Amino acid sequence: MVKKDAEFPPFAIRHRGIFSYAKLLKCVHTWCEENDYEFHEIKVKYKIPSPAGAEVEGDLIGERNITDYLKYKLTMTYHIWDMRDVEIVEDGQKKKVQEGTVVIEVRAEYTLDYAERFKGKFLEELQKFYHKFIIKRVIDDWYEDNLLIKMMDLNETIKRTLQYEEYRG
Amino acid sequence: MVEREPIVEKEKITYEGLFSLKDIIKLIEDWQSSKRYVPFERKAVESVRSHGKFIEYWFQPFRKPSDYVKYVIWIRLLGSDLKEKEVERDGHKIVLVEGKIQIILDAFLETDWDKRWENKPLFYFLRAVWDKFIYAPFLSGARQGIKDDAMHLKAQLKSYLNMQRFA
Repeated sequence: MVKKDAEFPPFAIRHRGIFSYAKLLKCVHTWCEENDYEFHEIKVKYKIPSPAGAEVEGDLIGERNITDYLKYKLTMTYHIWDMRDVEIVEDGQKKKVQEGTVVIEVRAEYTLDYAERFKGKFLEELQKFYHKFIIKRVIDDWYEDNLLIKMMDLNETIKRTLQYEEYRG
Repeated sequence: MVEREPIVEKEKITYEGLFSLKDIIKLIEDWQSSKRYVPFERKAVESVRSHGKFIEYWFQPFRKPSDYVKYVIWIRLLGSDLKEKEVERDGHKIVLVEGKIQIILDAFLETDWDKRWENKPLFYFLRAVWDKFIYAPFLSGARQGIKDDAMHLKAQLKSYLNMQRFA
């Protein structure tokens, strides 16, 4: 099994204002379901609220087997500071949402030979040759770019949920 | 390491007034699509403050015209003191944004983006000789190509914001 980080850097979102914590987690879960990714919530940390608000940290992962040799993985790490419950009026209805500072980082990586078929010294050397000379072009030009497009799609979903200015009006 | 050469450095467009952030981002996306750049958004920041909204978007679209050369353009949108405003145009009410926006463009030419010619010192030396003496005309053409792309985007953004000034 060979795990590789994507060539492109992670995507960062910082939002300070009103948002819905439940909707944020739900949108990532829904996106994973719609795109056939396995959704895992691997870490949630909730710190006892101070007068400024609560602090929440978490990691969400979406994984998908693209071929029988390659697997995509998208990791969303979020950290929320000064989170407080507030009530807003939207379309004439009262809604309970949160206010605070949200920092989200979405990182992409892929795994080759996730089924670990190439075990043993000889097969590992063969695998290196395979990666370096046979499938390198396909991975760099096709699969990495597809992973980038998927990551951008997830980012757009998150920004839409946080109601970024570009999606208003 | 990939060799990155700055071709266009900090070309700025500053605007203050009414504009549509949605339209500006759509313009950038359409430009990326028409010039066949792979869209990549690196950062998106929005912060609601007492005197208005602060936004920062950082796009890094790239294009690989060959297996040796890569065009990368950085587009940074910085908006401050932004407030939503409802205006009427052609009988329809639309929501625009009023405030200051600054767009900063940088363009870079990356060579050997595949990192094939940096594994050994001999390869590194051969690459330097190749770039300087054999491939120089093609690299010069590539530099002009990315400069034209960046200037074209700048002209499009400027003309959109100029139109907004009189709308």
